[in-house]
Amino acid sequence: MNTYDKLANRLRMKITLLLILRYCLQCFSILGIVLATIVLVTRMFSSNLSSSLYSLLFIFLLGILWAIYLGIKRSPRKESLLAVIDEHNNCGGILMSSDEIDIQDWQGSIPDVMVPRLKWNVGGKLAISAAVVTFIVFSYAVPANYVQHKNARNLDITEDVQKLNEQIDIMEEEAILEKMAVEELKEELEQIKNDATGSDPVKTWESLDHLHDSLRNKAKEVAESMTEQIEKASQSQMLAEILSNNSNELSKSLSLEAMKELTSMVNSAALENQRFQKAISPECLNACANAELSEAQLKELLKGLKECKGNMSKCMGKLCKSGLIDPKDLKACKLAGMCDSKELLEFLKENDSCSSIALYSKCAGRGGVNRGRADAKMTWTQGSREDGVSFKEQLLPQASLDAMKNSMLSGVSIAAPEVNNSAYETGGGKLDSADAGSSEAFTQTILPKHREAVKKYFKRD
Amino acid sequence: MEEIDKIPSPEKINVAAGLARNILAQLDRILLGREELHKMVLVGILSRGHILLEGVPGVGKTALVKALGDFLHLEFNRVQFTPDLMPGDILGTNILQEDDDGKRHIQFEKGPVFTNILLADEINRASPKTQSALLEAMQEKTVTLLGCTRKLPSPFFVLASQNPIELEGTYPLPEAQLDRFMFKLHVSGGNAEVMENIISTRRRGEPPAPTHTISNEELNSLFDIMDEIFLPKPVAKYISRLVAATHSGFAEATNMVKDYIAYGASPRAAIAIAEASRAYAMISSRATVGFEDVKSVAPAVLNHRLILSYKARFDKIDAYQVIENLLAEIDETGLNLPSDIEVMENANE
Repeated sequence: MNTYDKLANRLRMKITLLLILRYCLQCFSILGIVLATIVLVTRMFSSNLSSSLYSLLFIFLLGILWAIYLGIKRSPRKESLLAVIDEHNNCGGILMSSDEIDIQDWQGSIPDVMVPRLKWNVGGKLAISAAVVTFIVFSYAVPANYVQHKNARNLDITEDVQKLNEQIDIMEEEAILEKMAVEELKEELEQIKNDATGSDPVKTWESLDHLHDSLRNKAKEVAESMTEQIEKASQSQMLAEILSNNSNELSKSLSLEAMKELTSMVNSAALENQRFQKAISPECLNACANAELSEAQLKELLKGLKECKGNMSKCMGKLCKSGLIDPKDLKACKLAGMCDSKELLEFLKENDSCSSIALYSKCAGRGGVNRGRADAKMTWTQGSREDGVSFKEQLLPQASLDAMKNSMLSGVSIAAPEVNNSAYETGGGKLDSADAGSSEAFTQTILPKHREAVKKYFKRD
Repeated sequence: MEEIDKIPSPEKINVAAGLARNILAQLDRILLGREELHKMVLVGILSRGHILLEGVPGVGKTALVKALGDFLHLEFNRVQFTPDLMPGDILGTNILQEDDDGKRHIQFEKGPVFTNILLADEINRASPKTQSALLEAMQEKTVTLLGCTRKLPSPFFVLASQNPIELEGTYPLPEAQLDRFMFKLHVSGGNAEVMENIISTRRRGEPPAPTHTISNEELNSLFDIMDEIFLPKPVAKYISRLVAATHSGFAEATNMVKDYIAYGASPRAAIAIAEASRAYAMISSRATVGFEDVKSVAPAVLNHRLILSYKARFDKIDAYQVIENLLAEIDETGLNLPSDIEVMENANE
């Protein structure tokens, strides 16, 4: 190996080292960005900074190996190195030729050859590397709560869902809702619970309200129906008590009539309400259908009616307690069940000759057209007084009424309206008082814009 | 040319370089203030290339060629190219001759091309037909007429001149012909100092007679040494990369080439650069070609071979600017270091 080859090797070493360093910085920058991004993304979804994230730092070792490989691979050839040395020592090509041809004769004319210096403008790359280091440190050191991905907060509607579930269960228990409807409602409720997010609570609340309203409406419907049935049951019970305990105080015909009324009421109630059918034995119901109830059957009926009323009241109580119906509905239900049999007995005694239709309808205190008279007596003898009344009824003339109906609002003024009574007076046509042959006629001026319409109206083909 | 296995000794080169310097000194003495032009003309002569001289009238183009012919002891002919000049006027023609016996025969009368140095004055004034008559002579150094090929004397050079102004009635040289000229050199008017020197030292501007001449043997020895000048591989690669980079499709083409060059230089340009670099190295007393030799001759070789695009004309970019850009951008050593690593100019350690 001659002197120039040694110089070329020295230059190659320098260049290769610089290239390795350069690629190291490049690899570091690229891998650093990738690593820091991986760390940040991992920490976003994981609360703990696991040791595997630290082991990722070994990726830089691979980077260094890769940089060494690239540096060596890109290391310049001897031919180019000699050319560089030749050029920078102003050898005029003689040094380059040393690799190909004998330059022995020219050795003396070659000046002292030196390996040229290399300059690496590393500023930009160092700045990038520093930024990457900061990024890596940040990715590892930043507190977890700053990087962790926050899911959209769920809306906690557990309590409401539980309450609605209870209401649905009660309605199912009381046979208000069918099994399929219950399943559908529960599915819907589960869906609402799953979809409930803090980002859009209104939607959830509206859905819950809608479901709650549906249940309440159904419960109210049922409550109204039950109130009616309890009332009927109370009435039947009252009549049954009288027939059972005080039948000897009534005339036979009235007893028969009362029995008829009772059986008819029980039959219709049994048709409408299954609780009746369950509470009263089939024999008793058959006897009712035939309008022939024995003493024992009457007692059984009484017992059944009481039990039925009790069940319905209990059901209403449950509905009220669960918030499906208002307390006032419960109160109405309780009131519907209160009936004084003594008063009815006295009334029946007083009106022994009344027809069967009047019998029940005259039961006082229920109001309405066919539910007995009101407690307050109504008098129609005195008219209403007009003393001290500021408003007096005034009958408008027909013309004024039409004018008012046909009037158009052209604006609102703060001034008091001007009233021209004469304009709206009822009057006859112009020819009403005209004499024959007086040439009088309707002489109202026709506006030019209306002339064509009038002509057209009177045009005769 | 045979493969070179030994470069000439320093002594041999020094003798040749001394001769070359002598020629240059004589030329510089005859024509004042044209040192660089003389060097390039000599490089062209030593490379056996043809030279196109471009310059306004009166700057000494003809005087230069005439002085060169006188100094080198070479036969010199001058043809003034005019629009009515015919190929036969240059190449020669067959004429019917009657000898003493009264017999008639066809005899070839040589034209002015049969010389060592042909000065084609104002070559762009002749018609393309006449211009193209020179193609074979320039490339093959032969003349073929009526199927008969005749060799031209050796050495044979064409030194053409053309006037860049007064373009009316001229025929610009076709690319094929331009490519045959090794150099296109611009002859500019001398500065005030040179002109003062001319008018104060020369009556009626007549140049002095050469004090020394070069014999044919000496000239041939120069040509022989030229053949021994060694072109190292890195330089050969640099030349090829440089010429290839004049084509916009080449990887190393600069943005300027991509923007302004319609057609790049031919392989003949690479050959011309290599030859001219050898001559340049020899004149500089070196037996091997260096990158600086290539950089010195490349503008003269390439400037007439690059066809500029219209965009270049709009942007007032000439071929010299593009070549300058190429020489600055292309890494001659082929080291191809990344842009942020550079080799310092001053070698210190």
